[in-house]
Amino acid sequence: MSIRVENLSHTYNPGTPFERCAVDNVTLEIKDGEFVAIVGETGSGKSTLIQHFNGLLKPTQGRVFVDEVDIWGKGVHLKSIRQKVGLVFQYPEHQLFEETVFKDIAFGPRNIGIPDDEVERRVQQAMKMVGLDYEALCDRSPFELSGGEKRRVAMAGVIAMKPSVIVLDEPASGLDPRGRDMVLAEIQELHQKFGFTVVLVSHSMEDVAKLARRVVVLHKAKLIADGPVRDVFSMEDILSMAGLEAPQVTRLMQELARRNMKVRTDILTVEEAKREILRVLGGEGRVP
Amino acid sequence: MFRNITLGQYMPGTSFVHRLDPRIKILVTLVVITILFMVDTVTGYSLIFLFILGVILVARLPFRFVLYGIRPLAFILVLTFGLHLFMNEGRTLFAVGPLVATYEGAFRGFTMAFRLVLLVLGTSILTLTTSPIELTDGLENLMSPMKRMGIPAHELAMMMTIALRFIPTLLEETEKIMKAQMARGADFETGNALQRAKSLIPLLVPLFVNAFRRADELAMAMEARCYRGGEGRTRMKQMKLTKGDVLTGVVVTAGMVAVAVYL
Repeated sequence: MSIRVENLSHTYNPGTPFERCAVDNVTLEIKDGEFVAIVGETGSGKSTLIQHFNGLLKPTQGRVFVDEVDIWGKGVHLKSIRQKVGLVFQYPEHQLFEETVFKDIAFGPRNIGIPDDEVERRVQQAMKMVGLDYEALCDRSPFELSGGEKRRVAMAGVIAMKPSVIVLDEPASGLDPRGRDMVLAEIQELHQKFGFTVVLVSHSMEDVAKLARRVVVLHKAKLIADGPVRDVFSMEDILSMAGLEAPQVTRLMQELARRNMKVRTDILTVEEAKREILRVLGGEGRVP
Repeated sequence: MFRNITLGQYMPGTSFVHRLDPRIKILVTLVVITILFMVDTVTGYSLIFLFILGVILVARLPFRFVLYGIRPLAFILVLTFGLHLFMNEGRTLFAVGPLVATYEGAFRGFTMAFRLVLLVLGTSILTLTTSPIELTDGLENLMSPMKRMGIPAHELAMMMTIALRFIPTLLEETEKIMKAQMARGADFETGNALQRAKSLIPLLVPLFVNAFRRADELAMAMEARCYRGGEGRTRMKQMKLTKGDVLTGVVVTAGMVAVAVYL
Protein backbone atom coordinates (compact mmCIF):
# COMPACT_ATOMS: atom_id res chain seq x y z
CA MET A 1 0.00 0.00 0.00
CA SER A 2 1.52 3.29 -1.00
CA ILE A 3 0.44 6.85 -0.30
CA ARG A 4 1.37 9.57 -2.70
CA VAL A 5 0.58 13.27 -2.40
CA GLU A 6 1.21 15.54 -5.33
CA ASN A 7 1.64 19.32 -5.02
CA LEU A 8 -0.59 19.28 -1.97
CA SER A 9 -1.59 22.60 -0.41
CA HIS A 10 -4.06 23.22 2.34
CA THR A 11 -5.37 26.60 3.44
CA TYR A 12 -7.51 27.02 6.54
CA ASN A 13 -10.30 29.64 6.53
CA PRO A 14 -9.74 30.78 2.96
CA GLY A 15 -11.08 34.27 2.28
CA THR A 16 -11.23 35.39 5.91
CA PRO A 17 -8.73 37.40 7.96
CA PHE A 18 -7.84 34.11 9.68
CA GLU A 19 -6.63 32.58 6.41
CA ARG A 20 -3.59 30.40 7.00
CA CYS A 21 -1.69 28.15 4.64
CA ALA A 22 -0.76 25.05 6.68
CA VAL A 23 0.67 22.88 3.92
CA ASP A 24 2.31 24.44 0.90
CA ASN A 25 2.96 22.48 -2.28
CA VAL A 26 4.17 19.24 -0.75
CA THR A 27 4.97 16.23 -2.93
CA LEU A 28 5.73 13.01 -1.15
CA GLU A 29 5.46 9.28 -1.62
CA ILE A 30 5.32 6.68 1.12
CA LYS A 31 5.99 3.23 -0.26
CA ASP A 32 4.74 -0.10 0.95
CA GLY A 33 6.64 -1.39 3.98
CA GLU A 34 8.44 1.85 4.80
CA PHE A 35 8.88 3.41 8.23
CA VAL A 36 8.79 7.15 7.66
CA ALA A 37 9.07 9.85 10.31
CA ILE A 38 7.65 13.33 9.81
CA VAL A 39 9.32 16.00 11.90
CA GLY A 40 9.02 19.75 12.27
CA GLU A 41 8.24 22.44 14.79
CA THR A 42 4.78 22.94 16.27
CA GLY A 43 2.69 24.57 13.54
CA SER A 44 4.88 23.38 10.69
CA GLY A 45 1.95 21.52 9.12
CA LYS A 46 2.63 17.93 10.16
CA SER A 47 -0.81 17.23 11.55
CA THR A 48 -2.54 18.91 8.62
CA LEU A 49 -0.47 16.88 6.18
CA ILE A 50 -1.24 13.50 7.74
CA GLN A 51 -4.96 14.25 7.85
CA HIS A 52 -4.85 14.21 4.06
CA PHE A 53 -3.53 10.66 3.99
CA ASN A 54 -6.93 9.19 4.86
CA GLY A 55 -9.17 11.89 3.45
CA LEU A 56 -10.11 13.66 6.67
CA LEU A 57 -9.09 16.91 5.06
CA LYS A 58 -9.65 17.78 1.45
CA PRO A 59 -6.68 19.41 -0.24
CA THR A 60 -7.14 23.02 -1.30
CA GLN A 61 -4.84 22.15 -4.17
CA GLY A 62 -3.09 19.01 -5.33
CA ARG A 63 -4.02 15.36 -5.20
CA VAL A 64 -3.76 12.40 -2.86
CA PHE A 65 -3.36 8.83 -4.10
CA VAL A 66 -3.75 5.73 -1.98
CA ASP A 67 -2.68 2.66 -3.91
CA GLU A 68 -2.63 4.77 -7.08
CA VAL A 69 -6.30 5.69 -6.61
CA ASP A 70 -7.12 9.40 -6.41
CA ILE A 71 -9.07 9.42 -3.14
CA TRP A 72 -11.08 12.49 -4.11
CA GLY A 73 -11.94 11.03 -7.49
CA LYS A 74 -15.46 9.94 -8.42
CA GLY A 75 -16.87 6.80 -6.85
CA VAL A 76 -14.20 6.45 -4.15
CA HIS A 77 -15.57 5.58 -0.72
CA LEU A 78 -13.64 7.48 1.90
CA LYS A 79 -14.61 4.85 4.45
CA SER A 80 -12.61 2.25 2.58
CA ILE A 81 -9.65 4.64 2.41
CA ARG A 82 -9.91 5.18 6.15
CA GLN A 83 -9.90 1.44 6.67
CA LYS A 84 -6.70 1.11 4.62
CA VAL A 85 -4.92 4.07 6.20
CA GLY A 86 -5.34 4.01 9.98
CA LEU A 87 -4.78 7.33 11.71
CA VAL A 88 -4.01 7.56 15.42
CA PHE A 89 -4.39 11.15 16.60
CA GLN A 90 -2.36 12.86 19.26
CA TYR A 91 -3.64 11.99 22.75
CA PRO A 92 -5.91 9.32 21.25
CA GLU A 93 -7.10 8.33 24.74
CA HIS A 94 -9.21 11.50 24.70
CA GLN A 95 -11.53 9.91 22.18
CA LEU A 96 -12.37 6.77 24.18
CA PHE A 97 -16.10 6.65 24.86
CA GLU A 98 -17.44 3.12 25.32
CA GLU A 99 -18.30 1.34 28.55
CA THR A 100 -15.76 -1.39 28.03
CA VAL A 101 -12.38 -1.71 26.40
CA PHE A 102 -13.77 -4.40 24.10
CA LYS A 103 -16.60 -2.22 22.79
CA ASP A 104 -14.29 0.72 22.23
CA ILE A 105 -11.82 -1.27 20.16
CA ALA A 106 -14.72 -2.91 18.30
CA PHE A 107 -16.12 0.50 17.26
CA GLY A 108 -13.94 0.80 14.16
CA PRO A 109 -14.39 -2.76 12.83
CA ARG A 110 -18.17 -2.56 13.41
CA ASN A 111 -18.38 0.72 11.50
CA ILE A 112 -16.89 -0.89 8.44
CA GLY A 113 -19.36 -3.76 8.64
CA ILE A 114 -17.27 -6.62 10.03
CA PRO A 115 -19.41 -9.54 11.37
CA ASP A 116 -19.47 -10.09 15.14
CA ASP A 117 -17.32 -13.22 15.45
CA GLU A 118 -14.67 -11.66 13.24
CA VAL A 119 -14.84 -8.46 15.33
CA GLU A 120 -14.03 -10.45 18.45
CA ARG A 121 -11.06 -12.08 16.77
CA ARG A 122 -9.79 -8.73 15.59
CA VAL A 123 -10.11 -7.13 19.02
CA GLN A 124 -8.13 -10.00 20.56
CA GLN A 125 -5.51 -9.70 17.87
CA ALA A 126 -5.22 -5.93 18.11
CA MET A 127 -4.91 -6.00 21.90
CA LYS A 128 -2.19 -8.63 21.64
CA MET A 129 -0.31 -6.52 19.10
CA VAL A 130 -0.17 -3.54 21.46
CA GLY A 131 0.69 -5.70 24.45
CA LEU A 132 -2.62 -5.59 26.34
CA ASP A 133 -4.00 -8.61 28.18
CA TYR A 134 -7.37 -9.40 26.54
CA GLU A 135 -8.84 -11.52 29.35
CA ALA A 136 -7.92 -9.05 32.08
CA LEU A 137 -8.96 -5.85 30.34
CA CYS A 138 -11.73 -6.49 27.82
CA ASP A 139 -14.60 -5.91 30.28
CA ARG A 140 -13.01 -3.03 32.18
CA SER A 141 -14.00 0.57 31.56
CA PRO A 142 -11.37 2.32 29.44
CA PHE A 143 -11.63 5.31 31.76
CA GLU A 144 -10.14 3.48 34.74
CA LEU A 145 -6.94 2.39 32.99
CA SER A 146 -3.53 4.04 33.31
CA GLY A 147 -2.44 6.64 30.77
CA GLY A 148 -0.22 4.25 28.86
CA GLU A 149 -2.90 1.55 28.79
CA LYS A 150 -5.53 4.01 27.57
CA ARG A 151 -3.26 5.08 24.78
CA ARG A 152 -2.67 1.50 23.73
CA VAL A 153 -6.41 0.79 23.80
CA ALA A 154 -6.91 3.73 21.46
CA MET A 155 -4.16 2.44 19.18
CA ALA A 156 -5.73 -1.02 19.19
CA GLY A 157 -8.99 0.64 18.12
CA VAL A 158 -7.32 1.70 14.89
CA ILE A 159 -5.28 -1.49 14.42
CA ALA A 160 -8.44 -3.60 14.72
CA MET A 161 -9.60 -2.12 11.42
CA LYS A 162 -6.65 -3.92 9.82
CA PRO A 163 -5.19 -0.99 7.94
CA SER A 164 -2.04 -1.58 5.93
CA VAL A 165 -0.64 1.85 6.73
CA ILE A 166 -0.73 3.19 10.25
CA VAL A 167 -0.13 6.90 10.82
CA LEU A 168 0.64 7.99 14.38
CA ASP A 169 0.69 11.61 15.56
CA GLU A 170 3.04 11.98 18.53
CA PRO A 171 2.17 8.57 19.96
CA ALA A 172 4.52 8.89 22.93
CA SER A 173 3.80 12.44 24.09
CA GLY A 174 2.64 12.98 27.65
CA LEU A 175 3.45 9.45 28.82
CA ASP A 176 5.82 8.49 31.64
CA PRO A 177 9.19 7.02 30.57
CA ARG A 178 7.95 3.45 30.93
CA GLY A 179 4.75 4.06 29.00
CA ARG A 180 6.81 5.81 26.32
CA ASP A 181 9.23 2.94 25.91
CA MET A 182 6.41 0.42 25.72
CA VAL A 183 4.40 2.37 23.14
CA LEU A 184 7.48 2.93 20.99
CA ALA A 185 8.51 -0.72 21.27
CA GLU A 186 5.02 -1.73 20.15
CA ILE A 187 5.23 0.58 17.16
CA GLN A 188 8.56 -0.94 16.16
CA GLU A 189 6.98 -4.36 16.45
CA LEU A 190 4.02 -3.34 14.33
CA HIS A 191 6.48 -2.49 11.60
CA GLN A 192 8.98 -5.31 11.91
CA LYS A 193 6.85 -8.21 13.05
CA PHE A 194 3.43 -7.43 11.58
CA GLY A 195 4.55 -5.66 8.43
CA PHE A 196 2.62 -2.41 8.79
CA THR A 197 3.78 0.59 6.80
CA VAL A 198 4.30 3.19 9.53
CA VAL A 199 4.24 6.98 9.39
CA LEU A 200 5.35 8.51 12.66
CA VAL A 201 5.00 12.18 13.56
CA SER A 202 7.36 12.99 16.38
CA HIS A 203 9.16 15.76 18.21
CA SER A 204 11.81 13.46 19.57
CA MET A 205 14.75 13.10 17.22
CA GLU A 206 16.08 10.31 19.44
CA ASP A 207 12.92 8.28 18.79
CA VAL A 208 13.08 9.03 15.09
CA ALA A 209 16.74 7.98 14.94
CA LYS A 210 15.94 4.77 16.76
CA LEU A 211 12.84 3.77 14.80
CA ALA A 212 12.59 5.28 11.35
CA ARG A 213 14.61 4.70 8.20
CA ARG A 214 13.46 7.77 6.35
CA VAL A 215 12.61 11.21 7.62
CA VAL A 216 10.64 14.07 6.14
CA VAL A 217 11.27 17.56 7.52
CA LEU A 218 8.56 20.21 7.36
CA HIS A 219 9.20 23.86 8.03
CA LYS A 220 6.61 26.64 7.76
CA ALA A 221 4.25 24.45 5.72
CA LYS A 222 6.94 23.46 3.23
CA LEU A 223 8.84 20.22 2.80
CA ILE A 224 12.52 21.10 3.22
CA ALA A 225 14.18 17.68 3.44
CA ASP A 226 13.29 14.09 2.67
CA GLY A 227 15.73 11.23 2.83
CA PRO A 228 17.38 8.52 4.91
CA VAL A 229 17.52 9.48 8.61
CA ARG A 230 21.30 9.25 8.60
CA ASP A 231 21.69 11.73 5.76
CA VAL A 232 19.09 14.23 6.97
CA PHE A 233 20.34 14.27 10.56
CA SER A 234 23.85 15.11 9.44
CA MET A 235 22.61 18.22 7.62
CA GLU A 236 22.98 20.62 10.52
CA ASP A 237 21.83 23.68 8.59
CA ILE A 238 18.54 22.06 7.54
CA LEU A 239 17.78 20.92 11.06
CA SER A 240 18.56 24.26 12.68
CA MET A 241 16.46 26.03 10.04
CA ALA A 242 13.55 23.76 10.94
CA GLY A 243 14.10 24.51 14.63
CA LEU A 244 15.11 20.93 15.39
CA GLU A 245 18.11 19.35 17.02
CA ALA A 246 19.77 16.14 15.93
CA PRO A 247 19.97 13.42 18.61
CA GLN A 248 22.44 14.21 21.39
CA VAL A 249 24.88 11.56 20.29
CA THR A 250 24.89 12.86 16.71
CA ARG A 251 25.64 16.33 18.00
CA LEU A 252 28.43 14.91 20.18
CA MET A 253 30.05 13.38 17.11
CA GLN A 254 29.67 16.62 15.18
CA GLU A 255 31.38 18.46 18.04
CA LEU A 256 34.20 15.90 18.13
CA ALA A 257 34.67 16.34 14.40
CA ARG A 258 34.83 20.10 14.87
CA ARG A 259 37.61 19.53 17.41
CA ASN A 260 39.65 17.71 14.80
CA MET A 261 38.86 14.16 15.73
CA LYS A 262 38.36 12.32 12.47
CA VAL A 263 35.05 10.63 13.27
CA ARG A 264 32.05 10.15 11.01
CA THR A 265 29.23 12.53 11.90
CA ASP A 266 26.25 10.54 10.63
CA ILE A 267 25.98 8.55 13.85
CA LEU A 268 22.52 7.87 15.27
CA THR A 269 22.90 5.67 18.34
CA VAL A 270 25.21 5.46 21.33
CA GLU A 271 26.32 1.98 20.27
CA GLU A 272 27.39 3.26 16.86
CA ALA A 273 29.16 6.19 18.45
CA LYS A 274 31.13 3.87 20.72
CA ARG A 275 32.31 1.77 17.80
CA GLU A 276 33.22 4.82 15.74
CA ILE A 277 35.23 6.45 18.53
CA LEU A 278 37.05 3.20 19.27
CA ARG A 279 37.80 2.80 15.58
CA VAL A 280 39.32 6.25 15.33
CA LEU A 281 41.29 5.94 18.57
CA GLY A 282 42.47 2.48 17.58
CA GLY A 283 43.51 3.73 14.17
CA GLU A 284 46.23 5.81 15.78
CA GLY A 285 48.03 2.79 17.17
CA ARG A 286 46.77 -0.66 17.88
CA VAL A 287 43.38 -2.02 16.87
CA PRO A 288 41.39 -3.11 19.93
CA MET B 1 -16.67 23.07 9.81
CA PHE B 2 -16.99 25.19 12.94
CA ARG B 3 -14.24 27.54 11.97
CA ASN B 4 -16.53 29.93 10.15
CA ILE B 5 -18.64 31.06 13.09
CA THR B 6 -18.09 34.79 13.42
CA LEU B 7 -20.79 35.58 15.95
CA GLY B 8 -19.06 36.47 19.20
CA GLN B 9 -15.59 36.40 17.72
CA TYR B 10 -13.04 39.12 18.50
CA MET B 11 -10.92 40.74 15.84
CA PRO B 12 -7.95 42.57 17.32
CA GLY B 13 -7.32 46.09 16.08
CA THR B 14 -6.27 49.58 17.09
CA SER B 15 -9.05 51.68 15.60
CA PHE B 16 -11.03 54.31 17.49
CA VAL B 17 -13.85 51.82 18.00
CA HIS B 18 -11.44 49.22 19.40
CA ARG B 19 -9.97 51.70 21.86
CA LEU B 20 -13.30 53.04 23.10
CA ASP B 21 -14.08 52.23 26.73
CA PRO B 22 -15.94 48.91 26.85
CA ARG B 23 -18.60 50.33 29.17
CA ILE B 24 -19.42 53.05 26.68
CA LYS B 25 -19.52 50.49 23.89
CA ILE B 26 -21.91 48.24 25.81
CA LEU B 27 -24.19 51.16 26.72
CA VAL B 28 -24.17 52.56 23.19
CA THR B 29 -25.00 49.11 21.80
CA LEU B 30 -27.92 48.89 24.24
CA VAL B 31 -29.12 52.32 23.13
CA VAL B 32 -28.91 51.37 19.45
CA ILE B 33 -30.82 48.13 20.07
CA THR B 34 -33.54 49.95 22.02
CA ILE B 35 -33.91 52.61 19.36
CA LEU B 36 -34.05 49.92 16.69
CA PHE B 37 -37.22 48.65 18.30
CA MET B 38 -38.77 52.11 18.50
CA VAL B 39 -38.04 53.29 14.98
CA ASP B 40 -40.70 52.50 12.42
CA THR B 41 -39.90 54.52 9.34
CA VAL B 42 -37.72 53.90 6.32
CA THR B 43 -35.67 57.03 7.03
CA GLY B 44 -35.10 55.88 10.63
CA TYR B 45 -33.88 52.48 9.54
CA SER B 46 -31.68 53.98 6.87
CA LEU B 47 -30.06 56.36 9.33
CA ILE B 48 -29.28 53.54 11.78
CA PHE B 49 -28.02 51.45 8.89
CA LEU B 50 -25.73 54.27 7.80
CA PHE B 51 -24.53 54.70 11.37
CA ILE B 52 -23.66 50.99 11.66
CA LEU B 53 -21.99 51.09 8.26
CA GLY B 54 -19.94 54.06 9.44
CA VAL B 55 -18.85 52.27 12.60
CA ILE B 56 -17.75 49.24 10.56
CA LEU B 57 -15.70 51.56 8.36
CA VAL B 58 -14.12 53.39 11.29
CA ALA B 59 -13.34 50.08 13.03
CA ARG B 60 -11.73 48.90 9.76
CA LEU B 61 -13.59 45.58 9.89
CA PRO B 62 -13.71 43.71 6.58
CA PHE B 63 -17.32 43.87 5.31
CA ARG B 64 -17.38 40.31 4.08
CA PHE B 65 -16.35 39.07 7.48
CA VAL B 66 -19.05 41.05 9.29
CA LEU B 67 -21.63 39.79 6.82
CA TYR B 68 -20.66 36.17 7.54
CA GLY B 69 -22.24 36.73 10.94
CA ILE B 70 -25.67 37.01 9.33
CA ARG B 71 -25.50 33.69 7.50
CA PRO B 72 -26.73 31.55 10.41
CA LEU B 73 -29.70 33.91 10.54
CA ALA B 74 -30.80 33.23 6.97
CA PHE B 75 -33.57 30.80 7.92
CA ILE B 76 -35.06 33.14 10.53
CA LEU B 77 -34.93 36.03 8.06
CA VAL B 78 -36.78 34.07 5.40
CA LEU B 79 -39.33 32.87 7.96
CA THR B 80 -39.90 36.40 9.28
CA PHE B 81 -40.35 37.79 5.80
CA GLY B 82 -42.63 34.92 4.77
CA LEU B 83 -44.89 35.17 7.80
CA HIS B 84 -45.30 38.92 7.49
CA LEU B 85 -45.86 38.66 3.76
CA PHE B 86 -48.87 36.40 4.14
CA MET B 87 -50.25 37.38 7.54
CA ASN B 88 -50.91 41.07 6.90
CA GLU B 89 -54.09 42.53 5.50
CA GLY B 90 -54.02 45.00 2.64
CA ARG B 91 -53.72 45.25 -1.11
CA THR B 92 -53.17 41.88 -2.76
CA LEU B 93 -49.76 41.28 -4.30
CA PHE B 94 -50.36 37.66 -5.36
CA ALA B 95 -52.14 34.63 -3.95
CA VAL B 96 -51.10 31.02 -3.48
CA GLY B 97 -54.24 29.03 -2.74
CA PRO B 98 -55.75 30.40 0.48
CA LEU B 99 -52.58 32.40 1.23
CA VAL B 100 -52.67 36.01 0.15
CA ALA B 101 -49.52 38.04 -0.07
CA THR B 102 -50.00 41.77 0.39
CA TYR B 103 -48.02 44.92 -0.37
CA GLU B 104 -48.25 45.91 3.28
CA GLY B 105 -47.03 42.45 4.29
CA ALA B 106 -44.06 42.67 1.98
CA PHE B 107 -43.15 46.04 3.42
CA ARG B 108 -43.55 44.91 7.04
CA GLY B 109 -41.69 41.67 6.38
CA PHE B 110 -38.84 43.54 4.79
CA THR B 111 -38.50 46.05 7.62
CA MET B 112 -38.70 43.30 10.25
CA ALA B 113 -36.00 41.24 8.54
CA PHE B 114 -33.92 44.38 8.12
CA ARG B 115 -34.35 45.14 11.81
CA LEU B 116 -33.02 41.66 12.69
CA VAL B 117 -30.04 42.13 10.40
CA LEU B 118 -29.25 45.47 12.01
CA LEU B 119 -29.59 43.92 15.48
CA VAL B 120 -27.05 41.23 14.66
CA LEU B 121 -24.73 43.67 12.91
CA GLY B 122 -24.85 46.09 15.83
CA THR B 123 -24.10 43.45 18.44
CA SER B 124 -21.42 41.73 16.37
CA ILE B 125 -19.59 45.04 16.06
CA LEU B 126 -19.45 45.09 19.85
CA THR B 127 -17.96 41.60 20.12
CA LEU B 128 -15.74 41.99 17.07
CA THR B 129 -14.05 45.09 18.44
CA THR B 130 -13.99 44.27 22.16
CA SER B 131 -11.86 41.48 23.59
CA PRO B 132 -13.82 39.06 25.81
CA ILE B 133 -11.86 40.21 28.84
CA GLU B 134 -12.72 43.87 28.22
CA LEU B 135 -16.31 42.92 27.56
CA THR B 136 -16.78 41.05 30.82
CA ASP B 137 -14.79 43.63 32.79
CA GLY B 138 -17.08 46.27 31.38
CA LEU B 139 -20.18 44.25 32.24
CA GLU B 140 -18.93 43.59 35.75
CA ASN B 141 -18.30 47.27 36.23
CA LEU B 142 -21.74 48.19 34.92
CA MET B 143 -23.41 45.57 37.10
CA SER B 144 -21.47 46.40 40.26
CA PRO B 145 -24.13 48.77 41.64
CA MET B 146 -26.44 45.75 41.68
CA LYS B 147 -24.18 43.99 44.18
CA ARG B 148 -26.12 45.73 46.90
CA MET B 149 -29.22 43.90 45.75
CA GLY B 150 -27.37 40.62 46.17
CA ILE B 151 -26.51 40.05 42.54
CA PRO B 152 -23.02 38.49 42.36
CA ALA B 153 -21.68 40.71 39.61
CA HIS B 154 -18.09 39.51 39.81
CA GLU B 155 -18.97 35.83 39.79
CA LEU B 156 -21.33 36.28 36.85
CA ALA B 157 -18.66 38.13 34.91
CA MET B 158 -16.05 35.51 35.75
CA MET B 159 -18.35 32.72 34.59
CA MET B 160 -18.94 34.57 31.37
CA THR B 161 -15.23 35.13 30.83
CA ILE B 162 -14.54 31.44 31.31
CA ALA B 163 -17.44 30.39 29.09
CA LEU B 164 -16.31 32.73 26.31
CA ARG B 165 -12.72 31.63 26.71
CA PHE B 166 -13.67 27.98 26.25
CA ILE B 167 -15.98 28.26 23.26
CA PRO B 168 -13.15 28.08 20.70
CA THR B 169 -11.36 25.40 22.72
CA LEU B 170 -14.45 23.22 22.82
CA LEU B 171 -15.19 23.76 19.14
CA GLU B 172 -11.65 22.77 18.28
CA GLU B 173 -11.94 19.73 20.45
CA THR B 174 -15.27 18.74 18.90
CA GLU B 175 -13.68 18.89 15.49
CA LYS B 176 -10.72 16.83 16.63
CA ILE B 177 -12.82 14.10 18.24
CA MET B 178 -15.10 14.01 15.21
CA LYS B 179 -12.13 13.46 12.93
CA ALA B 180 -10.68 10.83 15.23
CA GLN B 181 -13.95 8.89 15.16
CA MET B 182 -14.28 9.39 11.42
CA ALA B 183 -10.82 7.84 11.10
CA ARG B 184 -12.42 4.83 12.76
CA GLY B 185 -15.17 4.74 10.20
CA ALA B 186 -17.78 6.75 12.12
CA ASP B 187 -20.39 8.45 9.98
CA PHE B 188 -22.01 11.65 11.22
CA GLU B 189 -23.80 12.66 8.07
CA THR B 190 -26.04 9.91 6.75
CA GLY B 191 -28.89 7.90 8.23
CA ASN B 192 -32.26 8.85 9.73
CA ALA B 193 -32.75 11.08 12.75
CA LEU B 194 -32.39 8.24 15.27
CA GLN B 195 -29.24 6.85 13.67
CA ARG B 196 -27.75 10.31 13.53
CA ALA B 197 -28.54 10.98 17.17
CA LYS B 198 -26.92 7.66 18.07
CA SER B 199 -23.87 8.48 16.00
CA LEU B 200 -23.31 11.50 18.25
CA ILE B 201 -22.57 9.35 21.31
CA PRO B 202 -18.93 8.71 20.30
CA LEU B 203 -18.59 12.47 19.96
CA LEU B 204 -20.45 13.68 23.05
CA VAL B 205 -19.06 11.25 25.63
CA PRO B 206 -15.40 12.18 25.08
CA LEU B 207 -16.35 15.84 24.75
CA PHE B 208 -18.04 15.87 28.16
CA VAL B 209 -15.32 13.82 29.81
CA ASN B 210 -12.73 16.27 28.50
CA ALA B 211 -14.79 19.31 29.48
CA PHE B 212 -15.07 18.09 33.06
CA ARG B 213 -11.36 17.33 33.14
CA ARG B 214 -10.62 20.82 31.86
CA ALA B 215 -12.96 22.41 34.39
CA ASP B 216 -11.22 20.51 37.17
CA GLU B 217 -7.79 21.59 36.01
CA LEU B 218 -8.92 25.19 35.63
CA ALA B 219 -10.39 25.29 39.14
CA MET B 220 -7.17 23.86 40.49
CA ALA B 221 -5.04 26.38 38.59
CA MET B 222 -7.20 29.26 39.85
CA GLU B 223 -7.01 28.09 43.45
CA ALA B 224 -3.27 27.61 43.13
CA ARG B 225 -3.16 31.32 42.40
CA CYS B 226 -5.27 32.09 45.46
CA TYR B 227 -8.47 32.98 43.64
CA ARG B 228 -11.24 33.41 46.20
CA GLY B 229 -13.87 35.39 44.32
CA GLY B 230 -14.12 39.08 43.69
CA GLU B 231 -13.86 40.38 47.26
CA GLY B 232 -10.96 42.84 47.53
CA ARG B 233 -9.60 41.91 44.12
CA THR B 234 -7.73 44.61 42.23
CA ARG B 235 -7.05 44.58 38.51
CA MET B 236 -4.04 45.09 36.35
CA LYS B 237 -5.87 47.17 33.76
CA GLN B 238 -7.99 49.85 35.39
CA MET B 239 -10.73 51.13 33.15
CA LYS B 240 -10.61 54.90 32.78
CA LEU B 241 -13.22 56.99 31.05
CA THR B 242 -11.65 59.69 28.91
CA LYS B 243 -13.39 62.82 27.74
CA GLY B 244 -13.48 61.33 24.25
CA ASP B 245 -15.25 58.21 25.55
CA VAL B 246 -17.93 60.24 27.33
CA LEU B 247 -18.35 62.61 24.40
CA THR B 248 -18.79 59.71 21.97
CA GLY B 249 -21.34 58.11 24.25
CA VAL B 250 -23.32 61.33 24.64
CA VAL B 251 -23.24 62.22 20.94
CA VAL B 252 -24.32 58.77 19.76
CA THR B 253 -27.07 58.52 22.38
CA ALA B 254 -28.35 61.99 21.54
CA GLY B 255 -28.29 61.18 17.85
CA MET B 256 -30.17 57.92 18.36
CA VAL B 257 -32.80 59.51 20.58
CA ALA B 258 -33.26 62.24 17.98
CA VAL B 259 -33.80 59.60 15.32
CA ALA B 260 -36.39 57.88 17.51
CA VAL B 261 -38.23 61.07 18.44
CA TYR B 262 -38.30 62.85 15.09
CA LEU B 263 -38.67 59.98 12.67
